[in-house]
Amino acid sequence: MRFSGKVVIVTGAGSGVGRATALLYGKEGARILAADIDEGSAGKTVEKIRGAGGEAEPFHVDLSSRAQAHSMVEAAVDFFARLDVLANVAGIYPRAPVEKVTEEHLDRVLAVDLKGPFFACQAAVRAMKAQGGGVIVNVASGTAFYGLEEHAAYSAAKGGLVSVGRVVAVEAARHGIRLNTVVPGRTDTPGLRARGGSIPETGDTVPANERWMRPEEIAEVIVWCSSDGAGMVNGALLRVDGGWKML
Amino acid sequence: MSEGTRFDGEVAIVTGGASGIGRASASLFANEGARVVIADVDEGKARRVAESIATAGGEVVVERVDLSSLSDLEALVERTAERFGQIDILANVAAIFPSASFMKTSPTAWDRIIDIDLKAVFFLTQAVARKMIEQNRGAIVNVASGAAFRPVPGMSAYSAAKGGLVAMTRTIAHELARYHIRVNVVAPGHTASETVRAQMSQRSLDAAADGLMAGRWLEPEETAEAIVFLASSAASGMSGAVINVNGGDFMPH
Ligand SMILES: NC(=O)c1ccc[n+]([C@@H]2O[C@H](COP(=O)([O-])OP(=O)(O)OC[C@H]3O[C@@H](n4cnc5c(N)ncnc54)[C@H](O)[C@@H]3O)[C@@H](O)[C@H]2O)c1
Ligand SMILES: NC(=O)c1ccc[n+]([C@@H]2O[C@H](COP(=O)([O-])OP(=O)(O)OC[C@H]3O[C@@H](n4cnc5c(N)ncnc54)[C@H](O)[C@@H]3O)[C@@H](O)[C@H]2O)c1
Repeated sequence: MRFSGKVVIVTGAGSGVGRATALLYGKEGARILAADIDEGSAGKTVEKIRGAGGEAEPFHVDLSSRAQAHSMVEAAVDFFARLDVLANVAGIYPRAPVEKVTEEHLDRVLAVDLKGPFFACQAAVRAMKAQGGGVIVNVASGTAFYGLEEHAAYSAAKGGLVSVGRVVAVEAARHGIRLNTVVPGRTDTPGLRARGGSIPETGDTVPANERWMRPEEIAEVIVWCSSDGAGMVNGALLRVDGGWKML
Repeated sequence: MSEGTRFDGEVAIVTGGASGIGRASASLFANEGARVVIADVDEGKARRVAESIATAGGEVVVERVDLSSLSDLEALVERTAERFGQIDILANVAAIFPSASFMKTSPTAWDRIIDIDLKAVFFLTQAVARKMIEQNRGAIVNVASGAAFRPVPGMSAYSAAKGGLVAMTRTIAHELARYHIRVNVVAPGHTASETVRAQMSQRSLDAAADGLMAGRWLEPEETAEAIVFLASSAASGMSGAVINVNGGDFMPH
């Protein structure tokens, strides 16, 4: 097991990519702080991890608050006495054509998708520095690189997250801390399904670049790039879109 | 020895498997249960690597191949298909990287670098993909270089080859997706392979290390981990992608 004895925070652990990521870390032997604004769903993730013999604690956090992002990191260190990996997976992606984006819409998306992970990184770097190393994984989106209609605020947040990630990678490298950014393509998650519209088949009979990703496929890449085997993968962008866009 | 089982029953061709990153990749694949074909022009070194893999319990064969010969490429694929009946993985690792300033690069030098570092990858991939299309599955990993993305003095022809390799990988990945064949790139940073160690003194290695983000060179095994990951089913969501393994020295998009 690649993460025996390691402590991992997964944000957005109650659903979709975050839940798949938390479950995979659980299988790999990590102790997990399953953080989400929806404590009930984070609790279900924790039950599944425990049911499989793993160790996890649920944690309620609204990442739009700097104070709460910081206390999430403190909670992990309180529970488990260290922090090896922070996986910033939580995100929201409400749609609106640019002329309909309200100030509230922009503020909320920037707060959850950029400010939250930013301050979580800040607290994690502090904790990891003190213990001599660690890994951060940010989950961005292809919309950081191409124009997807009705995603103006979201693109701004995810583009910002990609840029911030490079700076943290450079600043923290000398402390043994790595940061990588995973860039999912279209992924079949409850969050995406809740927006309506039809989601085509994700099975293996469909070529990767035509099908939607499964949350587990994103989770595999998040977990790998935070593992010791990827010890020299730092500041990297890992696209997981099956070759859908490739940019 | 098989420590893992990620590649049980699979057949992997590794070019450049006699040295450096290719050698490390061949060992890792074998460690994880793959039957490995080391395809290299240096038969002596290839045999020594094969022996150490076999001693550790791995299944491995050596094919002497000069990648600058298209008939060698065809023969490699035919013999491998005959021997094993399948080809699941191709890792295009071999390359040459002689240094020459742009103004002193001759047409002969250009041709040799392009032949081995770009053309051979193209046509070996094509020949292997013919088998993979029949199987309706496969994974191909091409090894590029930071020179594809940023200036490396003395490496102008090499950077053309590696840049071309990254670009063609995307299109090949797109065309082969319908056959469930994934094609990806690993771009290594400064790696202390046998060839690099033979060319540089320990002093100049150390001096260069000071300028690197991690303060040290990569070991070939560290790059091989990314190659093996991309070839595995854990990377089923990745195609046409590039993984940079450089400790954070630079971060292309
Ligand atoms: N699904 C896709 O196609 C896709 C594509 C590219 C990128 N992504 C990114 O992947 C990540 C996960 O997406 P998903 O589709 O699994 O989403 P999801 O909606 O299924 O899950 C997101 C989770 O984040 C939690 N969350 C929302 N706001 C929060 C807040 N303020 N504080 C704490 N937790 C909060 C939610 O409660 C939910 O459990 C997001 O960052 C998303 O932007 C998704
Ligand atoms: N070492 C580095 O710092 C570095 C950095 C970036 C990229 N790379 C790339 O990584 C790969 C491996 O590099 P390395 O340093 O491990 O190399 P290496 O020189 O140690 O090994 C290369 C192998 O390729 C074989 N080879 C060369 N020409 C061949 C031919 N015509 N036919 C068949 N085999 C041939 C050699 O015999 C050798 O065994 C190359 O693609 C290289 O461009 C290396």
